[in-house]
Amino acid sequence: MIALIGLIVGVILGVVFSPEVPPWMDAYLPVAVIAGLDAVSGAIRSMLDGNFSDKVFVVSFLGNVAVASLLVWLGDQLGVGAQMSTGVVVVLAMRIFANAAAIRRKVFKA
Amino acid sequence: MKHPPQNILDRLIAEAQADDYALAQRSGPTTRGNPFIAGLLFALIGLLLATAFWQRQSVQPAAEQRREALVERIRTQTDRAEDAQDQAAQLRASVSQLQQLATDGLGEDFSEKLRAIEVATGFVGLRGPGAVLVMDDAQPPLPRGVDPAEAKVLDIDMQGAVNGLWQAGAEAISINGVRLTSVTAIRTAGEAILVDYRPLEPPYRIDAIGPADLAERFSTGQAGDDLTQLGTDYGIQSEVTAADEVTVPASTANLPNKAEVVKGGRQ
Repeated sequence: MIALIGLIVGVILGVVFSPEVPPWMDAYLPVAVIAGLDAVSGAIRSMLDGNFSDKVFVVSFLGNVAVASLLVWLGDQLGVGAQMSTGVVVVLAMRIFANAAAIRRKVFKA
Repeated sequence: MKHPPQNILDRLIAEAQADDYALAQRSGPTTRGNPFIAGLLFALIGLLLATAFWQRQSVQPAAEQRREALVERIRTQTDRAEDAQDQAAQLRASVSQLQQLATDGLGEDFSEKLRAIEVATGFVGLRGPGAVLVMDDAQPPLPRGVDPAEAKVLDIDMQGAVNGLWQAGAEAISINGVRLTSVTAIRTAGEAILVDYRPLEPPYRIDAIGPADLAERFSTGQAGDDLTQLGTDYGIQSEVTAADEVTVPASTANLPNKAEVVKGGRQ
């Protein structure tokens, strides 16, 4: 419940204030967004499974965002920033797909 | 537990799809964690989503708007420059008329000299017999093995053609309505040819006043040969025709205002 409320409050805050994203964050924003989607889909899956844990959620999301941003930053320094963010996005998208498939199986039994 | 796949891709997919929550549960009972921190993080994710969405929505049109504003500014400035040049030409015409009036009393010799100088310096618009040379970039189909980027009229081609016309006896030349004088440059900036620092668009029409056989003298000269060669090598189109009456406008280039005539004038 807190999760849903938090999500809605965040979206409303974003829409109301539409914060200006500083240019240096341009490369990290999409990666962070995909990591966020991954965390949300994982949380929904675990809620349906009944094994949701706030600690796992917090640690895995922060950890994933940190690693993803670090990889993109490292890629930028090595001149392969675009490819690196593609790789990160592909891996996270795979996780989202897996979570979505688990949710689908739970909800529709198919 | 299944045997872990050996293939690197399979392993990667298995790793990526691992269910963190199930793994955490399997490794024993964990502390519950703080639901408010989780809620805060959910809010942060929501904020990220909304921000990313609005960023995309607003940034792209902004760049587009900026580009359009720049294009608009270029257009108005070009228009203003053209207006100013037209005005300059009108003022010059009236100056020339007034000069005519003022020098009428100074004797035939003086006004004739002045007239000749005005003609030679491009101070006045002229008309007379001559030739019209039209040049244009190559149109497909291009000759075999020619890169379309190369099949364009270059500043050097135009310089050659203009020099050929002078050599053939032209007295006054204008390119797409821009009069050539002793201080008019023909050069390239990016993709465009600039004459008197004004960009031209193909096709290029060169009007030249000169002897009635100007066209013939031009095409039988070296410059005419060069143009024919450009046509066969790169597909550059050019056509020179004799004309009974050609008009050439007055120059809009700035008059010299720094140079002073040395004592004795002719030394």
